[in-house]
Amino acid sequence: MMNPSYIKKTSAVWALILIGLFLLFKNWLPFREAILLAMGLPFLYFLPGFLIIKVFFRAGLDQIEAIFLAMLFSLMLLHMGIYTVEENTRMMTIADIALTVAVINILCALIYLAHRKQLSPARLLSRLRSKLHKRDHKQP
Amino acid sequence: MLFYALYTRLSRKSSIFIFLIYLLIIAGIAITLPNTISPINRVIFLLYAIFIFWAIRSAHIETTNEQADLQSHNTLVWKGLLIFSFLFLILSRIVMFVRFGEAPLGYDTGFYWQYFRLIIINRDIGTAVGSHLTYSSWFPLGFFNLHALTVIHLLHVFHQLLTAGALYFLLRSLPLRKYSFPMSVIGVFIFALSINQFMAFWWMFYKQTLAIPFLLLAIGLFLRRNPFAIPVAGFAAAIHLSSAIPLGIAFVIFIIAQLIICLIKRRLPEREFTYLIVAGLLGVILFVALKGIDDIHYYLNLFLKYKGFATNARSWEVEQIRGLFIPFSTFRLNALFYLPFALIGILQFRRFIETRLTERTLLIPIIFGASLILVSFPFIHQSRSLIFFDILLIIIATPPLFRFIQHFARDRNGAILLGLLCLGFVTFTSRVVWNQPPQLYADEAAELKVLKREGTDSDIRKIDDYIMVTSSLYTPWAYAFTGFGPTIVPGWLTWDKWDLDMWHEFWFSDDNARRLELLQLYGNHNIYIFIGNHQLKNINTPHLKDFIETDSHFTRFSPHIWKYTPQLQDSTQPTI
Repeated sequence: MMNPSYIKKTSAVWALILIGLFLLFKNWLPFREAILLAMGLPFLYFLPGFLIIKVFFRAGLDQIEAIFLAMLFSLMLLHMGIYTVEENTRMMTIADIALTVAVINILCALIYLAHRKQLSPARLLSRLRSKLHKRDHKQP
Repeated sequence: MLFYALYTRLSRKSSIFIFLIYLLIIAGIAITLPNTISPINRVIFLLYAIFIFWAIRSAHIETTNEQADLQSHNTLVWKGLLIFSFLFLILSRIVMFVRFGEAPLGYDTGFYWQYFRLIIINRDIGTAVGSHLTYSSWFPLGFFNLHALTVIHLLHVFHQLLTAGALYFLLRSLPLRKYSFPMSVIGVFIFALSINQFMAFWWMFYKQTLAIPFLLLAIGLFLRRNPFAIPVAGFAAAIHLSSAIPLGIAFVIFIIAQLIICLIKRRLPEREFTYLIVAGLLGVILFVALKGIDDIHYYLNLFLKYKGFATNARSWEVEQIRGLFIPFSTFRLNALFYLPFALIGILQFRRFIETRLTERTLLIPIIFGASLILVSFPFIHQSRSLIFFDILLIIIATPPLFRFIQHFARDRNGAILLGLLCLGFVTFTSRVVWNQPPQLYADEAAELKVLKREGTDSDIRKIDDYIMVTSSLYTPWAYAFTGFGPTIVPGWLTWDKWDLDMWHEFWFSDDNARRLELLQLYGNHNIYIFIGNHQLKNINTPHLKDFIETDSHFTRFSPHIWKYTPQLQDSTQPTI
């Protein structure tokens, strides 16, 4: 269970970062693009790598290493993801990009959740089995 | 004091050995110092290097001193130094934009601008640009309607930050035990203040500065025995192959060394060896898959064409094949501050890491050796190898610098000395950063932008008017800022109708009639000739300048642009 004050602090920091990014981009871009870019940057350059290092580098990293590794892995995944789609479509659209970024983030999130044993196939099966078992017992 | 120290050292049992080490240091410094330094400065620098070596030797003898340990664990100081390093890194990279406007960096910016434009217009990287993997991350930002220069520069600065972070990770991966954090901070500090790294940033080597953090990350992961090292190394090599060559060579030597050790010790290779072979093969497969056969074929052809050496290229191509970066002598001059520390690091690498060299840490000196060979001889991309070599120098210089700091930070006078040294380093780098001129000044860019055709109708530049630059230094700028229209530049783009001999006649001949003949090859088109500040300051074509300024076919359009009209004209042409 995460400490509530930690969650508050982290959320506040992220909110400040996003507002800062939005204000920065507002100088160059229309409102809609600026807010989209500010919201999208963590998904492009941080979140996938962060989830990866949470799974594969559980110990032995300090905060600075974790931040930079998250950014490096995110950048690598972004390059490889878009490269794969671009090689196949030969005509990238905004939908292709959005889908690629979404797939990268969702895959990383799934790996992370599976690692936390909340979505592992074995656990899901066992939950299902226990539910079915309970239902069978409830029936007269 | 120094000589007394030398005397007392020499009176000990191991005096001959120490004397030899001092001789080696002096010889090393003498060899590495560039010839451009005057003899007096040479002697001063030698004394500085000997003083550093003496201080580090003393520090090593007193390594058990508790006070020294206490200082090295003052994490607040190290955290402060780390924050300072990152701040300095960011400020030194963005100060050029504040001073000189939107395009203050080197020549290649214009090429990347063109690539960006092609990619975003076509929505496909296509065959014209190549290296799909490098540019694929431009799509998301391009679709947000950000300007090409904004995206390229933002990512370029971001890659610098990533390199610092990856270097920190690599240093943390070395077996430095309790000194791991302070030494990593010192590594980042030297990186942030390295003039060679600033120069690499300024020259706008976008692909290389993207590949280097991943190479450092791969080495760090390799040292930590993490299997992620394989895809990361493959990815880095696919982004910029020549940067990854030292790592590739070192890896092969490392494998061979392991095999030789097995043969000497008459034992079968361990599982680790098999793992390394498989990992290497997987890395190569990934590299081939990401890079593509065409790109690999291009590099192979380049290698075969020049037989591996840039000196086999034609005289005007040599610098380009070398990689268009600072020469080795300038590189050494820029690295003077940490060069003595690096030399000591090479001599005492094993002692400083405070543990027996594990098999994997052996990779660092091997990469260093491979890089040293690549930068010392005129191989293809010799100059570009200097950028990665500088980072290796920083890694090797870090432990001795830490010992030096540890030795002097114990008392007030020592701390003052350290403060002065640090201040000198920061001031020197800041001065270089501040004095670095852009290739294209903001006023020149503004003049070129006037010639950009915004719509179908343009009062100033007609649709069939040409732009011309007489120095290839301005090629990408003129092409990009005037809107990628017909541009005549020496040896590039399709509109150039002259061969090298014709260009020579145009630049150096004193026959103006011949110059007019050459211009007539472009038919009945007006030509706007751009001559930039760098050309005007260092004029090596005085006849050409006189011709443009005095011939009646030319009118001065703006401070750096002259308009050539095939037919003689009156003086009612618009000027800015």
